[in-house]
Amino acid sequence: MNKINHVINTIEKGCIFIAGVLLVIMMLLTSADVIGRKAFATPIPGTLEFMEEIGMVTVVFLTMSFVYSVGGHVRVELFERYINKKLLKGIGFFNTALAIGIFVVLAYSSWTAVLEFHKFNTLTNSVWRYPLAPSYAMVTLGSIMMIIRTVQDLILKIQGKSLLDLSNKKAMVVDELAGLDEYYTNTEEGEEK
Amino acid sequence: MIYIPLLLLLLLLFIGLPVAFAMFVAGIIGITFVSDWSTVMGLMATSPYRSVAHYSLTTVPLFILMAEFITQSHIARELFNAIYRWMGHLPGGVAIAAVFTNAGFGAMCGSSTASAAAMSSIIIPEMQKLKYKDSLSGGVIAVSGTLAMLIPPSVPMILYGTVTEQSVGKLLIAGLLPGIITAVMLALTVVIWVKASPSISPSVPSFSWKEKFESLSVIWPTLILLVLVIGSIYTGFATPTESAAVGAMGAFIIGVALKRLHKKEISVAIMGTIKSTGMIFMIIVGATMFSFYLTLSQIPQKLVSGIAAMEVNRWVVISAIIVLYIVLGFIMDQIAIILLATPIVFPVIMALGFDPIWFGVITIVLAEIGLATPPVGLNVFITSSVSKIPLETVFRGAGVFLITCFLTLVLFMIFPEIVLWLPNRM
Repeated sequence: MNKINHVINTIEKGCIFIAGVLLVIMMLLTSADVIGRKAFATPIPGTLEFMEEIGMVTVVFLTMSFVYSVGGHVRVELFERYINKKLLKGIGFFNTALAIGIFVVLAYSSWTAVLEFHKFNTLTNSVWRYPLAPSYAMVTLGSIMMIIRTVQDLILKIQGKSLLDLSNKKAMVVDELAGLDEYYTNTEEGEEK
Repeated sequence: MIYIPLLLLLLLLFIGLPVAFAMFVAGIIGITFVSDWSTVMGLMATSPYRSVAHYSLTTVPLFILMAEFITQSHIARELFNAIYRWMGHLPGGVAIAAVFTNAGFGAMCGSSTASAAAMSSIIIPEMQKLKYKDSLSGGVIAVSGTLAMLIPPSVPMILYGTVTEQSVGKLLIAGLLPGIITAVMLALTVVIWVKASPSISPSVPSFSWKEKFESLSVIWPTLILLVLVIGSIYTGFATPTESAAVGAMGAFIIGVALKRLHKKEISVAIMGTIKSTGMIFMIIVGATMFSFYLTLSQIPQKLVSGIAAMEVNRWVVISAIIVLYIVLGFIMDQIAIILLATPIVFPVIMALGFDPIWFGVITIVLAEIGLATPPVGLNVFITSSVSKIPLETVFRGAGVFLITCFLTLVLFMIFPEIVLWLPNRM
């Protein structure tokens, strides 16, 4: 399990790095575009499409599994205290299984869109006219990462552990320490313990 | 039969499935009920992508990034020191300074929780040193921290604008005057509370004029960011997305120039942005699927016809909607409420002839209240956990300021001109 976790973490780390770089590029590109347009009447062509089709899609979908693993998705926790422990455990399995189901459907359906865009060589409306299929593939890739994370979460729950136990450490590291390397080193050490 | 997915959504939320996933599941089942599985697969193939690849929504991660850079740069400390020197001598002066620091910080950062966390660590130790009562310190920080949602830039306002297809620029500017009025009313609440119970706040000696003017020399980062963000949107110099990018860039440059943003802080800011963005956009993706079910089932239209048939006064209807939002605020996250309830409620608001920009501000004021009400008032939890003031004490203090928030809500309802004055001049 540790080796599998290491592989998942390495891929996730790569995804976060790409998303982080794109986030900074989005900031720089839009600033340069507005300054270029207002000061020199020279906007940067394709900024809008880049922001939508590459920036946003990558930042959101490639990091879905990271957000899930740090318990970043909001949920109503208020009623949990009124549910007995056994039932709560069962609900935990059910919820995780439901999440797996969602992302299996999303991975499959988005992949059909990727194949279709690839088949017809659909291009973006941007002046750069790049193909749209790789952009849609981010949804599939992110969904596959989510399936892996949610299955891992389910296995951990069956073993009486929880991904959220690790994620508490992750959240703490993200907030209080810093740096991608430090963050992953800590989570993996946390699991080994 | 078509209402079963609505009940299913409530059940899934009740059993703790993440809000985004619950809306996704209820949406899928709802669409299957109203249409068929092939429609679901067709929508799933493209709608999650399209709901994210949306230019106006690129504003969200950029404003979050700006807030993260500002938080990591600790700019708020200088802002508080300057306001404290000018207002500290007033009755409850440090608490008043806390309110206006939160308002100023809110003008640079669109996140209430970031605001509460930053201010709890900066201001509460100062108030404790001066022997301010914890209920006042905790309450004022928790409630005035919510001003960040109302004063532009505001992430929830952008989401409301996207869901309702209203001008995000007008919505952001619409929050400015109500935000300033709320800040003034919160400051007045401090004064009234201190006058009624002087023991909660000791008096602080006044600073000299030299010290006061000296303090202004370090608040230039705040002023630059204010002009960059609010000025560029109001004058139409830049779109909200562009102003968010320029604001984030400005915050980054200021942080680096002040030698407070290094590799570690930049990394934390980016990670924090990715985490918040992922959380918000997963709800958007789920809400989009749920909206398809609402559209196909025509539930909002049926609700509108049902209300019209009842022939009740429109203020009765909006009062019921406000009660619904307050109840939802007791148990749910504010962004989830906006994305979940707005598609259902908004057609009713439009049918009753209310202004959509005005209702946006009312929604945000209600969201502010939800952030400080028990049992899940997030700002209260953050203030308590950062400051180590007991939760009950912070809730008790916040309760006093919440009365003021309700009064401002009534004020904005009776006088919608307060909300609409600035956006109508754009």
